[in-house]
Amino acid sequence: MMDFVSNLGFGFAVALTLKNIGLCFIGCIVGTLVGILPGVGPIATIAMLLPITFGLDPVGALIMLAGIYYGAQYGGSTTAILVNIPGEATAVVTTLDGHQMAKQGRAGVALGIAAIGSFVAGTFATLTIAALAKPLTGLALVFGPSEYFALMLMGLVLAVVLAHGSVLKAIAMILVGILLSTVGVDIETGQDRMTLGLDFLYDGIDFAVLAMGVFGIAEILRNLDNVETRDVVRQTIGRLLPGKEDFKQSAMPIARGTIIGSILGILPGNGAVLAPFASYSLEKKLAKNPSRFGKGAIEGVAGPESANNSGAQTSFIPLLTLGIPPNAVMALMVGAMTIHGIVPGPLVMTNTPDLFWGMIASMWVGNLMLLIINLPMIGMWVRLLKVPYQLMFPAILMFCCIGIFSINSEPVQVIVIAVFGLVGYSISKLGFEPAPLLLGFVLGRLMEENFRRALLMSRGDMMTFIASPISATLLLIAVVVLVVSFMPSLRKSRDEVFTE
Amino acid sequence: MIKRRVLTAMLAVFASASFLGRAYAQSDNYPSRPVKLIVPYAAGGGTDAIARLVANGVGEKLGQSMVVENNGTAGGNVASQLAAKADPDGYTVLMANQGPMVVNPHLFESMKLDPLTAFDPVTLIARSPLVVVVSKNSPYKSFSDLMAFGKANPGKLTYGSAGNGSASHLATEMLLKMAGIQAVHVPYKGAGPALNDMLGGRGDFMITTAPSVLGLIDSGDMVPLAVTTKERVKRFNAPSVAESGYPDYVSAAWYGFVVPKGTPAAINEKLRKATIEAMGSKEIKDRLEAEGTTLVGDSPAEFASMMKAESERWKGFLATAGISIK
Repeated sequence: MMDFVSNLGFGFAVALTLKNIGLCFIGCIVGTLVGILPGVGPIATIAMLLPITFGLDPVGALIMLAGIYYGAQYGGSTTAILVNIPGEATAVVTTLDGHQMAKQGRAGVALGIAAIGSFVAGTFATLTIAALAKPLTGLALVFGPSEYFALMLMGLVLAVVLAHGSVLKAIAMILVGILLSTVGVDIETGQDRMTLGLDFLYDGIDFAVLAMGVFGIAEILRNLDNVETRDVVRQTIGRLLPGKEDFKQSAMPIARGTIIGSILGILPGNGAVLAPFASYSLEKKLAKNPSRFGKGAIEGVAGPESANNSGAQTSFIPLLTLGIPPNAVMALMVGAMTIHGIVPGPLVMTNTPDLFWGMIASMWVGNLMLLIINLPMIGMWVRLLKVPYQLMFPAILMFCCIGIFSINSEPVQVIVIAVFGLVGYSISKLGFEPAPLLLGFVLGRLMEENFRRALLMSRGDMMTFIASPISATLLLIAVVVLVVSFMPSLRKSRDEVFTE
Repeated sequence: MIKRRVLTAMLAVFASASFLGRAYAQSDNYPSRPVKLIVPYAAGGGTDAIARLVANGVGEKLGQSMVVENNGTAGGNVASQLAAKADPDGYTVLMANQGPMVVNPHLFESMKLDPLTAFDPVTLIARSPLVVVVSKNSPYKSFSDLMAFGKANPGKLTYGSAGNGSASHLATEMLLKMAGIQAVHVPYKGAGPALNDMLGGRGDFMITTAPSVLGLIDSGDMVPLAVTTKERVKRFNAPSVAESGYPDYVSAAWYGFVVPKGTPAAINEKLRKATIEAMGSKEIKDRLEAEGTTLVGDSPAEFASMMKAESERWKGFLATAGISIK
């Protein structure tokens, strides 16, 4: 305990130097901006800024890059709530109830609770990393391909709950999502699949392209279609910050989301993607009246946003304790360490304690800064909704195009978002929802890779999935959820969850 | 199609823009503007780290900055094509690596360019071993343990790699072929996630680049059994594969500079001298040697013949092993 306090104290001494506070601030601002701009993600930004950090000392450089990463998580929810565009996989669920809240004139409340929930989650996750990083590393190591497969499968089954319409349609969307995720070169054999001979499909479909199409562009088309609903968005501006009642409703979802996110974030195979989805499903299951979900339930914003942010923070654990990056952003952080001559690995904590503890302390400082930056901005964002839609939608379109182009400088990707926009518009006209499709897309790729790896390792023996207690338990949960939702005697309870 | 057309248009613009610059591309005032270094891998990777370190030093010696540009698309082939089409005036340099220079032409069926004829070599900068590693809890305490078990139990060993067709994958396949061992390949996306499974004991061994596993070796979590360079490397307490019964085996990662074919010899030489001077600086030397990398700095002719021999070797191996990417 004394160690814990003195270590954190040492960390704050490093993080609170004027220079490091400044770098943390720059990182948070840049992160918020790239999070808000659709398409420009933290990966592209950090890759671009990597050379600039060459002249900084390693601690300052990493503090700034980390700030960009979690700043983008904050910024991403702003776009999801205001214009229904999830910039990152983790913001998909926020669109479900967040954007509905905005339509009801509660954009300020949604943004406020997202920022506050994220701050609470960030604080908890920072303390978790400081206290338990080392022992939690063990958890990362027991998760192998079969466990991941089981986790992802469970995630997909829970995803059915995301839909608030027909179950069958939700399953259909999930399957289409999985199918889309298999486009591109096969990781095992090098064979290209469903690329239609097109070069740009060789590396698969980019998440941002798909999300921006089926959410963002489709939403614009729907709004242009329907003058009534879009005027609601801009005419009714309610209170700017969450009130007492909102806090009461959000407290438990924030707490649960924080814990779910913290656990999933530790997993080295990018388990953090699942966190907001899991939190949303849980809140909908626990709610007295699940039918409110999808129509602007504040719990549906508070829980997933907290889960998202705590997951983003704890995903630093495998990086800091093993030197193993759990996702593409962390891989760039490894690059930043290498450039500065630091060998990422278990010895970072002992060899460069200033880096280790300084970074952890700076995460909390950064979260506080983001709260301070974001709360006063809410008024401005909400006022932005008052801009007449005929001015607003060309601007959104333009930012989408710039964002997509900036990922790979590929003009053809801009055309692809238009195609996915039409797809998204048609499926919503037919009563399908895009969220299960995106979830299927995100989880499908991870699921396939891990399924095949597990079978390679077991030499084709399917028993591998129930041989490990973790994967057996996860699969059992998936089966139970499926059975519960299809058994006639339990139909009543299922209907409660699914019907509007 | 569309992409290709735009690319051509862009290249045309670049070409005409740099045509104006060509008049100044004389050796006595070279370089009069920043030099571009194209790296055929994404920013943040091992090659990128070395490229940026060296580029910084070379820029200082040249008196003009050397700007790194990353393009990791299609195994680095897009970067090679861009570099090959650039003006041969010394202002475009390509970071030459094993993959894009000598492996990809025989690996990718769609490869459009022969890197050995499209570029003039400048110098080989450094050579770095790949390391055969196992987890600290592994029953294999030495390289010969591992090989002996593999020979006695065909198909029992499992190894991870950084991806299908990666240096890590090919180095292992070459070893398995020479030793006559059958093992199951589990590809990952990058060395990190693969190491995680090896560490958790779900795979038996892995051959990976030194920087990716250095931290885990230093902490004792992973144990190096052998290095893939011909000679031992001071940084690792392990024999070389070559001295452990496979004298023909070598599979090092290497890093060099090449320039588009037709770059004036005087400019090439100026660049080479600046590079070798930069490599002599304490900062670069210390950093690279700490990663187990050996600095080289040879002549263009030596570098060319090395690449030619390597290309032949990989061509023969990939054809017999039947590894290809469509």
